[in-house]
Amino acid sequence: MIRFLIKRVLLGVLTLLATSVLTFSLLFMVPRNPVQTLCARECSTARLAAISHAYGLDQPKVEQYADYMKGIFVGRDFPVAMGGHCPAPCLGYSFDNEERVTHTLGRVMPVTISIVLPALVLWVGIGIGLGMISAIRQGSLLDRASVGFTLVGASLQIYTVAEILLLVFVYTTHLLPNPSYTSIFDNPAKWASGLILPWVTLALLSSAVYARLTRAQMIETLSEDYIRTARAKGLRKRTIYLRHAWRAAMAPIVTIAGLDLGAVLGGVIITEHTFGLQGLGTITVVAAHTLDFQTTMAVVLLGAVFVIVANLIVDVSYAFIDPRVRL
Amino acid sequence: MIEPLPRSVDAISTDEGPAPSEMVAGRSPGQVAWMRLRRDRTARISAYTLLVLFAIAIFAPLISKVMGIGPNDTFQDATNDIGMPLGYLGGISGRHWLGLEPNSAYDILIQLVYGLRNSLIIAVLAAIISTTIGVVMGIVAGYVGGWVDKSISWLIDFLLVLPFLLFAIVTLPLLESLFFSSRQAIPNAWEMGLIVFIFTVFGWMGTGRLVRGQVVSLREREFIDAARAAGAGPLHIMLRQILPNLWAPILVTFSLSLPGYVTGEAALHFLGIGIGGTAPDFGTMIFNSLGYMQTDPAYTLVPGLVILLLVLAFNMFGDSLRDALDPKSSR
Amino acid sequence: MTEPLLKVESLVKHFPVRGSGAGRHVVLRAVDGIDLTVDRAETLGLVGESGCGKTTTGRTIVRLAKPTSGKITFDGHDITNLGQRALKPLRADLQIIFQDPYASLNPRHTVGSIVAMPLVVGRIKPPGGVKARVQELLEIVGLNPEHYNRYPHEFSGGQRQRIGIARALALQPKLIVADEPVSALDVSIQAQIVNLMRSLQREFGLAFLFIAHDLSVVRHFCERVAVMYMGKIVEVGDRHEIYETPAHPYTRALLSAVPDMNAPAGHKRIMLTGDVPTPIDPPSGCRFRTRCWKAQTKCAEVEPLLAKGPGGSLVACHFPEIGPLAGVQPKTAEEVAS
Repeated sequence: MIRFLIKRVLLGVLTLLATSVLTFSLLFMVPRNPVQTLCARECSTARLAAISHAYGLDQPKVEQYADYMKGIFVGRDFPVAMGGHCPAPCLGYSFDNEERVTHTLGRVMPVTISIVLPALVLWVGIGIGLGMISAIRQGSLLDRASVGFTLVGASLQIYTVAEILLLVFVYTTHLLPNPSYTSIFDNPAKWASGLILPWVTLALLSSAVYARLTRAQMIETLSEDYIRTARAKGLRKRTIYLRHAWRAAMAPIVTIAGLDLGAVLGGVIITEHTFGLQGLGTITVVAAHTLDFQTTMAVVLLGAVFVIVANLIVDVSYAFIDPRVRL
Repeated sequence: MIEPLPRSVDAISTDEGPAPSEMVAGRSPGQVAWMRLRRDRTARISAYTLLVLFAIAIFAPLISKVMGIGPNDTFQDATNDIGMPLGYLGGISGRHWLGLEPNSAYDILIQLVYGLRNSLIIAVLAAIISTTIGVVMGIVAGYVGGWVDKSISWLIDFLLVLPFLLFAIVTLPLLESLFFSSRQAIPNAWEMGLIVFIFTVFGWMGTGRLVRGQVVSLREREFIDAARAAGAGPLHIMLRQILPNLWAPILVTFSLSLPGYVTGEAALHFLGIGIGGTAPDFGTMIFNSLGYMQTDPAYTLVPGLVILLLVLAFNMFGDSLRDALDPKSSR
Repeated sequence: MTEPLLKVESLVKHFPVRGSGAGRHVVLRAVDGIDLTVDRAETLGLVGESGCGKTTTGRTIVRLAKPTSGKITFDGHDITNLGQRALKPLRADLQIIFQDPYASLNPRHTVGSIVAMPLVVGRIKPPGGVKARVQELLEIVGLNPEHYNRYPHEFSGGQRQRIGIARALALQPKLIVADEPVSALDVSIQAQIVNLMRSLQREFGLAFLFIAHDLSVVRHFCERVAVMYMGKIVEVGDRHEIYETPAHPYTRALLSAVPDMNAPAGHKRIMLTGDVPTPIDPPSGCRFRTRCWKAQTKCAEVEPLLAKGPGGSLVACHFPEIGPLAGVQPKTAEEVAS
């Protein structure tokens, strides 16, 4: 097990490195000086050159990359105008936002986490639960309704669902306030009521996908011979489903969950944009649009870390679910 | 020359098989699948829906001509001072069947029709190119093996790690700025071409991985040995022996990748990425409509519902296709 | 004496074993030094139990696998290490029939294109066209030439095997390696296919290397038989020598297991004790000694080589069996001629 973990961590680090190199080179294709934004207001060629030099933008690309990586691990120094010393992990200074990228991230991460985590709990619970019940009561009205729901749900888009929910719950019936973000530490009730629509939106779509998958896997597992044996032995239904069938059905789902993470990121970005919440996703879109190299790089690295770590968790949990996997 | 052997008692087969005197050609596995598909009701419904939608997209210019309204025509005189369309439910009238867009005063129906058209062009192009790349990479990796396989598999794994939408968001503006300065308006063809390009680069891996897996299991089969024993080279084996056995999974991944590209393109435009051109698109419409939810619900919901219909039809058809092609499913 | 059509000398084929922790050079010794000859229009049977290496031998001879060492001479050419391109023209004369009638035909090709495949690959255009030739071949193997456009899944196992035979005949080969061609078929169909192969052999003067695990099937078809055990040939002889006066204990055990209605009542089967040893680490000396009822110390120390035995066959044993097989009547001269 330890060996496997070490191997995977190493592979993950390698992938991260490759991602950082790829992104860094991509972004360097841009014929744009990041300092240009400052120049719009107070431009003098000398000043531009000075800032470029201070930031190291006139150095060869490889050195810039090395400086950047160094900054992540040990921190680096910037001119006073850019905030002086930038402690590790230093992800650079964004001229567009006029702050250190780490500050920007610190501002927006709580928003994104507040959106994703509760939604995740919701959609995993609902999705898998619905899928299992649907499979167990195959053919019943509940099952057929859920199949219809999941098919439509998997084809819906976040903005459409959001629009319908907003129309119904906010604009017409005024049951819920306009979605907004309040820190959970300031006012938990407001935090929940402000975010419940984003949660439901995100969860509705993802749970449909997971419900479909779970149902299909569960049906296949339930038709296996060993389940027939368990039934013949007289085991209670609950025992059969929770102890035997669950494990076999979960393994492929865990795999899909791991692969699906990219889609989760995409979903978060769209949700934030729809509801006007200032989270990581919104920052990313703005940064991409304005070609804010520093912020973009940081977000991509963050995204890659997230996906790699999540895949690692998936692989490890596989070993617990499927005893045939010897790590 | 080999002489024909007289039909002796030994040679005549007495085991079961097709009746000797039938002149009909046999049913290929493809024809079997086609018949199963035809009998499936969901497949029929979704196929007809898709045909209608594709027809609308293809004949968009014709529709535009018949209605007398172009995709860039505005009708400011049918709106009031603050830009809201006059008339019932957002300007619905005999002339404008779905009303007008607030502010810009485009005809919604024509916008939808052209948006559908552009969306499908991008999706179909991206699907064809990415599937082709995936198939080629998959076959080469699966059959040739060795370090070629290792490198391609690593590439697939690496690219799969990168979150699709995130990278599309990041790279599209980048590519745009490479070719055009920020002041220029980007020609529609270029914009669509760039989107197709990015979708292709980040979209071929699923097919590649699937095809590779199939090829690895196929190459151990004895009919491949038979071809090698007859002196067939790798090209013949990959193209003429292995590829014909792959068209089922290829067809399924192709049809299931289409809705992904449709929604991906809508998502990008919704986020404001890649809207340098003036082409109508769903994403922009939906984003603009968010502000008018209470005042102009038709504008809000219609594009979303059209996308829903399109994606739903693709998904249902793809599922039915998969069932029809799967020899194990009991239909 | 003319040169044999196929001459195999000291053929060795080892497979590396994956995942071996400590020992890096662990190999599976599938074929460990065998000699064979097949003359023109001759039928040689290669018999042994599962895992003895006979299929590997067949595949290596047609160069589907590269020999680890040894020499294969076919029709005067040394094909042991030939590259694929140099090999191609020779392949026309050396063909193979496979065991599994279901896996040896491409399910997506019509029967016609399956049989035509060697012609297409070799870019050969028979006078009269490919289609005519294919239909001719189908007729030769006893199938309806009208079924040219049908797909393999529409045929039974026996018919599919006939298709495979038609494919092997397409290039008018001189030697056909038949790798357990009837093992996957029902017994009644087995006889039909073997009879078909017999008539083809006589009609076209084909040589056969007939690989099987069933001695009774081989008996009807092969003039000479080689018995293989654990990668080595333990006995080679002609039909009578093997079936009537087998010298190697293993051959005797194999034969005694064949159900024979004419055997006298109370005929005892020789039961071999012990497990089959692993080809990764075969026993020292004579490989059969761990299951042989006659094994003595010499058997573990010195490996027996093929030499003329008491029954007339070449046998690799220190203590070969003498005399006819119990319950077997030697055939008269007329019976021999049939």
